[in-house]
Formats: sequence, structure tokens, C-alpha cells
Amino acid sequence: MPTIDYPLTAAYQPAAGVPLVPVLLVELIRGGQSARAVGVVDSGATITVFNPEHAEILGIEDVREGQPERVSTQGGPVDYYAAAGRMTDMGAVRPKL
Amino acid sequence: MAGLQNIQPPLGMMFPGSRSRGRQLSSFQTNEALLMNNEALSNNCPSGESILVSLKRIHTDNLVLFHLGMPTTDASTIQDVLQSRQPEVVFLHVHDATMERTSTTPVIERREASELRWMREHQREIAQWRGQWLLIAENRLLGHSASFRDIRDAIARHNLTSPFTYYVPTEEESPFVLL
Repeated sequence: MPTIDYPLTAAYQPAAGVPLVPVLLVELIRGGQSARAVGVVDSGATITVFNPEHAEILGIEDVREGQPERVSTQGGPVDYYAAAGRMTDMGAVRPKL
Repeated sequence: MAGLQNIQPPLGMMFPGSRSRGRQLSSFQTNEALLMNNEALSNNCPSGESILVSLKRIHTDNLVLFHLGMPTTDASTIQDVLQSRQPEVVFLHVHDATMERTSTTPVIERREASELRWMREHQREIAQWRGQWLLIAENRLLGHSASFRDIRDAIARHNLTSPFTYYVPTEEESPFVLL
């Protein structure tokens, strides 16, 4: 069976209303601006999503100017807007904002 | 058991082995879970019996024992317990240094970020700010508001270049989208 080794560990941390989840501090970078946020490790996820308020800090005043997209989740479809950027601590990925 | 390498106790709830050895193994006041390996199961009790034997004599619903040497202990089992019992689960990580790790990939050891440390240390207080954004820097809460405009004003006022913000979900909101 194929296996994947992750070269980092994520501690489980509780917060208000949040079950224990593996979290990382991540930094979102776009152009010369950056914002830090809690990143929840979901190893099966195909995209990474953040609140539009994080996009504001990165200089995106209205995320609706981005590419509208939809993803299926166990809780139903979720609409989001895509924007290019970088995220540290989890490799070179393109977070969807 | 490769999946276990990514399972860690909640931040700040890990008891070092030296403290665990001094603990009275007679009762468990809160929900607790123990991660143990074979080396951890010996020479820890004054009576000479192993920790495992001692723990099995203590019948309590508050204790969940994970023995890493057993095939029934896997990552999903531990995760189920973590998520069903939060936030009262306390880990006694008895002998971390000798825990068997099957992966050959080097693990990056990192210090806990000050923002996450603040959230851990104030996890109960955070509930009072449900529906609000928090601005945290240098292990301090610099501001909180339901209006993100207020948070942005605070970011500018404190001249933060890479601010850490966190939205505290209401009880009706899902905290994260797991895809």
C-alpha cells in the first residue's frame, strides 16, 4: 500500500467551538503583503481556503473579483473565490482565498 | 502504525516523563489518555509492577489507555477519542524519547508559535469572543471586534507587517471547512 511521509508534525489544539484539530501557524503571502493565520491540516484536501478577511490584509479588498469556484464537501457544496498567493510552512502551494 | 507519527497530544498538555514517573497512579480526575510504549511500561511504580498493570487495576471511565505496541492502536482511534472528549483530554506522554517511529523522513522540530501558545493558554476565555475577530501579537491580545474594520485599524495602529488574526466561530458556525 502506498504511504506518504510528512516531514513535519502538527499538534492537536482545542479552541472555542473547535474540536481538537491538527493546526499550524501559516503565513499567507501575496505581493509584498502577508498575513498569518491558523491552518488546519486536512491531508485529503484538494484546495486550501481562508476567510475573505485574510485576503483583505493581503490587499484583496473584494474577493468576489477573483475566479468563482465551487467545491463539494461532506456538508454540501461550498462556493469560494480563487486568488493566487503563497503559503509558507506547507510547501509551495497556491491558497484559494 | 505509520500514521501515529502525526498524532501528538494537545499543546501544553504533555507531561514529561520525569513528572509522569512521580505521579500517583491512583485516580484520574479528568478524561485522560496515555500514550505508552513498551519501555514506558516498566519500573515506574514503587510496588515494582509495570505502569500498565497498575493502570489496569484502576477501573475508571475517565481513562483511555493507548498502548503503542498493540495493533488496535492506530491514528484514527486516537483521533476519535481526541475529538469526542475535547477539551478535557489530558495526555501523559510517558516516554516520548523512545517511541518507535517507522518513517525515515526527518521530522522538523519547531518551537510553538507565540500566537498558538496564546490561543492554547486562553482557550477557555476565547469563548467570550464568539463571533469576533481577534488580533494577537507577541503573546498578547491586541484587539477584538465583530467588525474586521476595527481589526484592520488596530493592525495599522500597531504597525504590524504580518498580523495574526483569528475568527472565533459562533456556536452555530462551523469553525473550519474540511474538504
